[in-house]
Amino acid sequence: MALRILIVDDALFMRTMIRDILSNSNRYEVVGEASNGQEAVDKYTELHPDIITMDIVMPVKDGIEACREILKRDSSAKVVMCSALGQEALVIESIAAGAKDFIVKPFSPEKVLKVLDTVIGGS
Amino acid sequence: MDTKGYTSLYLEETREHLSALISILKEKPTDPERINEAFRHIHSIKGMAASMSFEKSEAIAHKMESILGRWRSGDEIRSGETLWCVKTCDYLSSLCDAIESKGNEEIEVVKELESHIEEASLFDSSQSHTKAITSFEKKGESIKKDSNNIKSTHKLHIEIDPKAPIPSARAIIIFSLLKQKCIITNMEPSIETIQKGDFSGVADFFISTDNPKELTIFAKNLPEIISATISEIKEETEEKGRLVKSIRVASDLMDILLADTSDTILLLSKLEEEAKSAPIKLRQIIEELHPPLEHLFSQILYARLVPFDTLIERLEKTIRELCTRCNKKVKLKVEGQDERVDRSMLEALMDPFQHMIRNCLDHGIGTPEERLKIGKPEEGTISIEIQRIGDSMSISISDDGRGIDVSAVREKAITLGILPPEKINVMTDTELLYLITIPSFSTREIVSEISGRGVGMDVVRDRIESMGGHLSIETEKSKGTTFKLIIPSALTLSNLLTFRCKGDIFALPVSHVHAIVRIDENSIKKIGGRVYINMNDKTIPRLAFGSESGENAIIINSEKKGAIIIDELFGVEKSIIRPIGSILGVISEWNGAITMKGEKIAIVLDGKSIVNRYGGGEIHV
Repeated sequence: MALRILIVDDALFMRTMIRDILSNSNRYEVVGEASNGQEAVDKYTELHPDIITMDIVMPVKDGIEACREILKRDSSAKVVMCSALGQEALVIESIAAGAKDFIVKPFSPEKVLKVLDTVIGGS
Repeated sequence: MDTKGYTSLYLEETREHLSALISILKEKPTDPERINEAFRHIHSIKGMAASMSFEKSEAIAHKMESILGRWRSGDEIRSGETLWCVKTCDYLSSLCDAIESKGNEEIEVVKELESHIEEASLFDSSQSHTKAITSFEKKGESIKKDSNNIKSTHKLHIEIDPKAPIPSARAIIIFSLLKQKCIITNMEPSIETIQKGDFSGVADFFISTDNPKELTIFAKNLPEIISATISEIKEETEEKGRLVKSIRVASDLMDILLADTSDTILLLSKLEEEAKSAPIKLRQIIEELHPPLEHLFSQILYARLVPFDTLIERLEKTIRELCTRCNKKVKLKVEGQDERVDRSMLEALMDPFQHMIRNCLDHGIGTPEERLKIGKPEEGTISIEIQRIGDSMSISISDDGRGIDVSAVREKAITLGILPPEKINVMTDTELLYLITIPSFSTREIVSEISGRGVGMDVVRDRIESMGGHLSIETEKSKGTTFKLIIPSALTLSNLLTFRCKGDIFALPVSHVHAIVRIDENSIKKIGGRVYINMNDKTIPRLAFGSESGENAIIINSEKKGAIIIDELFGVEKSIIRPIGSILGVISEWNGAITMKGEKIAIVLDGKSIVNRYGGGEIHV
């Protein structure tokens, strides 16, 4: 059975790209999308996906804050941060906040899938 | 990844962001919320450009993002920054047009774009980064080591892919994951160091685990890891003593070490010479090099010292063999075999000692019957006594045999015609015994099987003297013979005075030099056909060794004083005296040779021998 994934990014462009990468693999099924941190928390509560990809910089609520909130509600949540270059400190902060891993733009499908597989695999 | 299909989506979104951005910028925003918005717009553009591998767009967007990031953190907006940002939006727009029409970022105004990007460096952009780190330090509760009281069982060595974009974050994730599977007692570099940005991608985790193999496989399979190796940490022994007390080293290696070190010291001297007119700092450093180099040298010399034990063992074997062959009974008594000499000297002593022992057995000690007849014990004794005297070793090899027949030596010397008979007849016993060490001198007509081809003792003396040593022989009829050797115990750096004389370069050990004097016509006197040099009311004979005339003379330090007039004085050098080959080694006045700076060779003289030879003394064998 495919793993359920929630994609969070304020750019439609990015959400589309990630969605396409995931649909090429039959391991993952995109069950929802969110375009800011608040939506992310709400959708998580609603959908309880197996894994989330979370952009860091977003309006209303950023990804780090959203990650924290989600983990408060469900400490077993698996959040993977999506970052651009030059955000080293923010990525590290996300990990401190509880994110399990990260991917950096530009994405390669292999890398994305590898990271997701690893996060799902580890308990 | 094939991104072509996303181009139109990219262009649409980017242009949207750009127009929103320009509106905000034109406001000259002060409201943090507006600034935040602007930041997000450019951030999104950057992210998309990165995903599409549009490098120019990514680069310029990144610069603008940094500026807006500072505005967002509350920094004042510096003059020119807003204008720069607006210009950036224009460039981004042009880049979009190029992408749309040509499919790439080739715009005409490339040079202007580049200088535009450089302008951004004028606006400092390092602060927002630091702020983020500070906040992490406060919130990083999950990144903590386990207790320090647990002992590590293994060390896990991890190497992160050099192409990884954020290796520090990767390292931290690995840390968190490992923590769940084992106990981490320590990590190098530390998490704090890694966070600060000081990270090469290689980390060691000190852990306690029962499943090292499993852990290693787990680590290897993590994203961005190119290698993971585990090694056991052995428990430290209770006593903090050294594990390895001594190391076995091939003798050849010691020779190489010595040669390399002396070459290095020589080079340093050369350097010093060349650097005479160099800045003072350079000269100071060169001076500072001397003590550690010389210390290194003396340590190596010390490491080369070996006790006499191995030599003694060989001699015992030789004695046993000879006893069997000649039906004699001999025992070996040794004292001081723990004394140490340089290994090369021990090697060089092997043959001479063997020969002297054979001499004792062959010529010295008689058969058990002969001995009993004259009241001696059946078993003969060869005694070897080794004693350290200052920098030298005194070694004596004695037997309790017949002793050497000095009158037979005298006769042989006259027969061989070594010296005129008158001279031989006035020679003392000691001087006569020395004759034994001349080549082809042997009192036995029949060459014995063991020794005595007549080539033995001269080689012995030659070897010992080329080591810088001295051999003398004492004997007492029916009581025994003693060979006495004095050899330097270690190859030491000698202080040598170097000079030129009659076209050749020589050196004298500084201890052999009494004084150096300037001379002129007034200092030279001729008395009874001999030339003397005046020095402080003393009259010192000029040695024939030196030049006829010159400006300087070296007065040699010995009981009989002598002076060598020299052509040119070079100076004092510190060097090891290297032995000269056996052919030249028979010249007793020559103690060896050294290589000077400038790679000239100087023959090292023995002061006393020179005085004796050239001062008009009677003995010169």
